[in-house]
Amino acid sequence: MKSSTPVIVLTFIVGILIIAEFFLPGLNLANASNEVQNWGVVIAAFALGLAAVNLVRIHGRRIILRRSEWWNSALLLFFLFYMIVVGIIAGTDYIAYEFAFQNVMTPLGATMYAMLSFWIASAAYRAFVARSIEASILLISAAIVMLGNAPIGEAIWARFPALGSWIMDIPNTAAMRGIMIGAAIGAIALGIRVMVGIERGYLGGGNE
Amino acid sequence: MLTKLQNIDKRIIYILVLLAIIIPLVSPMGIPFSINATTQAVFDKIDSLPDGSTIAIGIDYSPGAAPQIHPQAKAVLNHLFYSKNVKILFTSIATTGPMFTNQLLDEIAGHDKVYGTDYIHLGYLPGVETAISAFAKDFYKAFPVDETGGNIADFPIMKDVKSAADLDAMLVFTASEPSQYVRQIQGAYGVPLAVGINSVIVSTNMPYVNSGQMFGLMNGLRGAAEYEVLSERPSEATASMDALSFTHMIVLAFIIIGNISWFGTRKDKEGV
Repeated sequence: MKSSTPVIVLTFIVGILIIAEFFLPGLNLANASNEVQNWGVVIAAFALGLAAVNLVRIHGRRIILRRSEWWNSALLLFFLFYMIVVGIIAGTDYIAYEFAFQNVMTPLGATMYAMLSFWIASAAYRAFVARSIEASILLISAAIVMLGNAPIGEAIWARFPALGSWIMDIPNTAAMRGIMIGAAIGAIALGIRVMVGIERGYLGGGNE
Repeated sequence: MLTKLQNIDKRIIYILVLLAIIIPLVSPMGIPFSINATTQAVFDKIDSLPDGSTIAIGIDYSPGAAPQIHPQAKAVLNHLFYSKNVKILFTSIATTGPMFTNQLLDEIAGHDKVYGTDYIHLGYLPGVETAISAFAKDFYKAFPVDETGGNIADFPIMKDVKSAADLDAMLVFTASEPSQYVRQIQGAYGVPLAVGINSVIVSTNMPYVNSGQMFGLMNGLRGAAEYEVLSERPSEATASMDALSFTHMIVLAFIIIGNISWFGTRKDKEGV
């Protein structure tokens, strides 16, 4: 028996339990299913810890080997340990923890996202060209949705918001529904493959 | 001339975008805007909640999305804490959620609501969709203690709340995947669900609004501004609307310039 067999069997049992609890409420599997899902929460919490350990390993190695821009790794590890130590010892409502979150992490995160507006403006100018029929439709639709979303569009022509909403509600919804239904069918197929042990990527080491 | 227009230095574009943001913030024009039906639906539902209703609010956004979503959450909480008499459960499946919840509660301070009786902060639960499913089934098992470390069974607000089936509505503020709540809360328990999201994921969530699986949706900073106007508490989102207008116009202007220069020089390129 391969070492992965017990995990595959366990995956099948857990999968069947969750599905049966949803579709066959008469079997009274709610407590068992709830318990299994709470295990999932605990495993996810351990995964967070594992991610932190992995970060320390990767960036610690970069610092030791003095790889290019190793000081960025040092800064990352400093703040990682700062938040962990302050958070555990003093709590997440302690002023030093809140200060770092509100005055370092939040502005940095917002800045990263805000930079997109500059790149989008530059990229739209270079790439958003009506080279074909499809590109022209995309271009016109995007312009209408943008004008419908910005108050100035409404000031230019009062019908822009209604036109933008129509694009979002009808053609966009139709296309998105198709994509979502396709993705859902794919997810069901993947779920079945995982449960019966055909898909083993989650075990690590590929599909051997 | 047209070739020059096709090769505008990106630094010029960046400076113009920056000016389009800064000037309206310093000197706002107050361009009026209408209310989107999806935001109106969120407001109407919250406004019509009967006294004593229980709602859950998921604070699931990261710092990157906060400029668009935090004002939405603040506008809704101002409405709930100052104009309504409902019980509120704060949950989060994002690691940064509890910090933003604390920040929001600090920012709206001054109300007469009592912690543990009128609202409770249940904190963060890891596991994403599994976490949603777990707390939807049983709040007590998923969140045995609240964010302050107290046993949730000791708080009066939790007396009549065992699972998602006891909720009258749920609002989620997120920049990732609100469809998880459709599957685990709205679909499984029939709880009316609305979301506050950043503009970039509105298109992927419109099918849920049109199908009625979400009773409403707040679209980025514009959604926040609309909610502020509806609840008669104009604040930072309303003040940012002119900046939004002018940056959109700058982007559109450069798209037009790019197209004019491309079509103008197309014959030259084809001749080469």
